[in-house]
Amino acid sequence: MTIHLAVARLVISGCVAYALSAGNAAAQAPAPRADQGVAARQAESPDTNPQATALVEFQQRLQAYVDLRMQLSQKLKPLSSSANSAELSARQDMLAAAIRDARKDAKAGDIIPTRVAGQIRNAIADDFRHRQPDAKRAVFEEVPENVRPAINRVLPDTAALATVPPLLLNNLPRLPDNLQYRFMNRHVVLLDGDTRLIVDYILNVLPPH
Amino acid sequence: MIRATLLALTLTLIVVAPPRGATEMLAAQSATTPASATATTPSRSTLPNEKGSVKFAVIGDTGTGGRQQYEIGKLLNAARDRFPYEFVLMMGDNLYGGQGASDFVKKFETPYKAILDAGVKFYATLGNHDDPAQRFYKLFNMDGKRFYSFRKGDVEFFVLDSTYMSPAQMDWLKDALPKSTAKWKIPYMHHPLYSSGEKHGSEVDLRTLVEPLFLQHGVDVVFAGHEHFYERLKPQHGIYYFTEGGSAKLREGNIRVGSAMTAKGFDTDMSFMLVEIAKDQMFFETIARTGKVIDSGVLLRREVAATD
Repeated sequence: MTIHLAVARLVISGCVAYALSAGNAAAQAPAPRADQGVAARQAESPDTNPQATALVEFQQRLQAYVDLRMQLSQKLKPLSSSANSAELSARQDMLAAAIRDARKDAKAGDIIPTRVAGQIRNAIADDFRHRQPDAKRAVFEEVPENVRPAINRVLPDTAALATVPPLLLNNLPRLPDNLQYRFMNRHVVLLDGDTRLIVDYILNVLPPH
Repeated sequence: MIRATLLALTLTLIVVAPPRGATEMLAAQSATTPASATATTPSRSTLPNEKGSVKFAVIGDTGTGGRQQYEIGKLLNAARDRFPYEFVLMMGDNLYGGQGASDFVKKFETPYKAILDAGVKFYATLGNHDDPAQRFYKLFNMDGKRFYSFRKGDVEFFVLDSTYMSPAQMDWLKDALPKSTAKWKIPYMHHPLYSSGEKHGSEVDLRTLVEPLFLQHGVDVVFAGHEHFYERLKPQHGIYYFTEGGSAKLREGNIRVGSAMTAKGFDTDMSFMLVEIAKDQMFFETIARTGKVIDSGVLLRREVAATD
């Protein structure tokens, strides 16, 4: 029992430290550079640090999505090492369909908790306050306009993937590597990089442009 | 703002002199020319074609499936007769528009069929028009990874996904670069850290993150695409930057006239590069769709140049 508790504490403190490693985005988080000991105490007293709790919850939800994706992927016929483009496309479509089916009732905010959405908004607002006009223009250069995100919608493959500024990415909560923050109009979408499915989104985050 | 940036860059070029020997060792066959320079035919190829050297080609922003891509594909294949390169670096935007099975065929497999059939490998990086799932496509040799490295002889290539420079990717680069024992470390990515392009220009955010690592860990050369033209930049802090994003698309006249960064610019036709690395020297030739060599030269590794 004691061992289980210790392991649980280690896992929680690891999650918090990982979530907080998002850097400056923790503008709302009281202890953005917390060491593990501090992080562990915060996890033990979530009431005193709701932001850290939200970040932990975010990481758990992301992990649940990744696990689901893995499960569904394993049910599909594995790609052979000599898979051609047709097999690759077909598998991608099948995986997207399976995820869409498994998450047919998903809605905005199911993965990104409200507090984390607030943190993302603040990080982006802060970034844009300090960004020069030319650099701001560059951010919007290829952002798709006149579109509204929807859960389970596939980002059209004819649309360019507008680059999220790397310095801003450094300040957002970390994501597993096959999930990405992307801009769509003024909105931030959480995109599954392998299926181009929108898995969650936050509306009206970017300044009008 | 643009003026301030230009001034800063100019000052950088003046104040931060490249390591001794670096500049003078670049014996480019074409003199520094302004953008939109007319192509010239060199008297002979500058590539030594040495036995045991690392030979490769560079193409960028290719995936249109249009006539120009096919024409460059034909030239690229023909170039193997005189310069048997072993692999091709792709600078991203490998497929524009649709990313379905037929698109891979029309925009990649068919235009480069003869080269693929000859067993030449292509190593792709992702551009902003590419579906990240391309990394699973066998013929792009990405082994399912958005960012990866591979080694050929004395050269290690670090292939970055500049469309999404996540902290995880930065962690990987910080780990992989210092670990490399290769003489030549060559990163390539879609977005150029330095560019005189009017449409896009330099990727300053990206540069802020990765340039210190390049400088710290002995990178000598960086390739990129994104800008639909060819540009060889004057060494920036001693590193040579090449942009080759005009192998199927062209943004004519897009190189800023009078850019202090341009060593050679070519924005009047499509092009591709042939590169040979022999010991401490890197030879290059850039060839236009007409078949004419529009730039060529040789450069020396910084470490060697500095001790000369």
